[in-house]
This record gives sequence, C-alpha cells and structure tokens, in this order.
Amino acid sequence: MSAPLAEPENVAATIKALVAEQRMDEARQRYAEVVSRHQRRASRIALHYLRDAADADEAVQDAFVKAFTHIGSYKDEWPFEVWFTRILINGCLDRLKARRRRERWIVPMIESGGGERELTEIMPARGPSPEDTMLLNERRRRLAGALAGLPERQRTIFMLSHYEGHSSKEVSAMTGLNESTVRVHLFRAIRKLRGMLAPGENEKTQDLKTEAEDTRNAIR
Amino acid sequence: MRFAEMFGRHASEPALLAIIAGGPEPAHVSSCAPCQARLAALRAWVDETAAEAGAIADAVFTPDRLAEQKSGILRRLEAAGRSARVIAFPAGAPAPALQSTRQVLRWAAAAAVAGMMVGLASGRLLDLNGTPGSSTAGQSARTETPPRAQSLATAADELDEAALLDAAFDRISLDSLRTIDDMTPRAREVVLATLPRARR
Repeated sequence: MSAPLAEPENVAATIKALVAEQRMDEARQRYAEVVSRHQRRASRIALHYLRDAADADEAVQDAFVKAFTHIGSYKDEWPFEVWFTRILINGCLDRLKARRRRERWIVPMIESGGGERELTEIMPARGPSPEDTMLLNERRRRLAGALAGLPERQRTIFMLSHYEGHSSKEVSAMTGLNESTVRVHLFRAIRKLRGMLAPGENEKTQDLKTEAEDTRNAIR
Repeated sequence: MRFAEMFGRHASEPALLAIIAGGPEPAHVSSCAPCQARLAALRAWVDETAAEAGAIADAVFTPDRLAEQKSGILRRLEAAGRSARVIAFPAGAPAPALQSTRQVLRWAAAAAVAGMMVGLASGRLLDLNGTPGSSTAGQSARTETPPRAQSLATAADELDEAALLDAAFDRISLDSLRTIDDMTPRAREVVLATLPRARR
C-alpha cells in the first residue's frame, strides 16, 4: 500500500490562489511538485483501467492538464488526490467508451494488436535468473488475467482500496458511489480474485458453505 | 451470527473477506485466535496481491517513462497558459490587392468589349464558311453535304429532267403544238406593229 492521502499542506488550494492572482509561473512550479507526488499512482490506476501503456500515459497527462486548467473549481473539502482521481477515472471511462465505439466499427486486429493487452506482455522481464523470471512472469500473468476478469467497477474499487489504501469513504468520493456499494463491490472483487488465484482456498470455502447448508438442513 | 458460528464453528472465508472489505468484525472473530490468524493470513494475501498488481504497473511505468510523462505534462501546461498565437500570412507572397473600384470597372468593361468582338468575329467567320443565302442560325445548323456527293446529286437531277422532257416530247403530237403556235401572237410581229412606220 502506498502513502496515505495527507499532504504536507493543501498545495492544490495554494495553486488555486496563485492561478486566481494570475501568477501562472509560480502556479506551474507548485503544480510540478503535485505531478511528481501523484503521477506513479495515477499511472497505475490508468494502466489497470485501460490495459494499454500508451493510452494510460495519455490519460494521465490529460487528467493532470485538465485538473490544472480547472483548478478554479477545486473545493478543498476533499484532498486534491480524491478530486484528481475522479477526473482521472472519468477520463479513463471516456477512453474506454471511445475504444469500444471504435472496436464496434473497426475489425479487431488479429492477435493482441488491439486496444487491450495482457499487462505482462508490455512489462519488461526482470529477475535474477531465467527460471525466476519465468515464475514471476507466470504469477503476474495469472494476476493480470484475474484482474482483467473483474468487472470494471470492482477492479477500480479494488485498486483504489488496496493499491492506495484509501478508505471506503474516500473511494466513495472518488467514484461517486455509495459507501456501502463500495464495500459490496470490494468484497465481491476480493472473493472473485481469491477464487481465481487460490483455487484450493476456494474449495475450502465451498466445503464450509456445504457444512453450513448441512447444519441448516439438520435444524429444519 | 451464522449457523456455523452458533455451533462453535469458525467464521467462513467470505465472512472474513467481508471484514477485509470494511464490514464490521463479529464478536466471535475478535475473540477467536484461529479466526484472527486466518483473517491476518487473508489480509496478507490481499495486500500481497495488491502489491503484486502495483508492481506490474510499476514495471511498465519506469522512472524514465515517468520523467518523460512529467515533462510532457509541464509542456502542455505551458502551452495551455499562453494565449493562442495568430500566425500572419507569409509576407513574401502578398495577396494581389485591387487598387480601386474604378480600376475593377475598367477591367470589366475591357473584358466585356473584347468578348463581344471575339463573338462577332467568330460569327462572321461561321457565316462565310456556310452556304450562301443561309445566314440564319437555323439554316446554318443544317447538315452539310460533302462536295463530291453534291455534284453527284446535281448530275442525277439533270438526268431526271432530260428524261422527263424526252418523255413529254414523245407524248405530245406536233399538230396540237402547231395549233397553239398559231393562236399565240408572235413577239416580233407585235413589236413591229407598234413601231412608227419610219422606224420599221
């Protein structure tokens, strides 16, 4: 999990004030710090949303530019991160919609030349030995496949909650969903991932379920 | 409380996952050491999975790529801050500007006169080349026959006329013609009769 939301000071409010005073150079300088602080996290989110590195890169750039140009509408009741993530997610959703529209008309390319790719395909191989690399890549391939198998909303909520360690309240503010809905989606995402990545554990769960059913039947 | 817990059994995995997802922790789980251990193991698994998923993304977005991304963002921000530049039309090739309305009118009049002259001249030429006596447009539009074909047609007409005359002469008897000749006053006689006697 990454660092919590707390920022040393509300930099976004400062930038907003600088922009209002037309001190654009200073505002840009301060904003560069904000970009450095949030871009890795933003890139992770965009990549898992879009599953294409170039597309994710563009989405992150667009979101940062949009956040700066609309800084006047930022309200400091939430941290900048929450506001920015909402912009980023909306941008990613727009891109996904546009991609689906394109794919409806254009014949999808053979093999993996299309929009979405396995994350492990675009990831450079790393590791001390070829065996380790192979195992690591295999594990990551399975994980990427499992994440890709999650419905969009569940994937987003899992990412926001567990990559970044946001509370369900914060995730609710980022996604615009009800807090209890966020918890339900998170629960389903984890259960599904567990089912896909740990089949043994899933079997145990099934056994427990069967036991509970048996008990219920016995009481009746 | 679930049935399994009521009968002394431990919390199921979905129950533990619900706690991880932010749900309330049941009393049994709080007090049960095996359930706490399982909950901790599940939490570790979820965290590990999330970290691994983060590592996948981090492997794609290397520090170099992030630096490039940041410079791209800052470039775009600078461009967004600047007002749009109006690019002037190339000074080397100025658009030919018309000096005055009067000059335009002069040119238009000259063009009209020239057009009229050309039209008249071409009309004359067409008339000269056409059939004599057929100056109207309707007549000039008539299809022209080639010279050789024209001479052949004339010869055929002459032959027809000669044949018709021959046939007429064959049919008419000389007596009937003589009668007509007698009845017709002779021009010479008439003229002589009208002249004074001295001039005859």
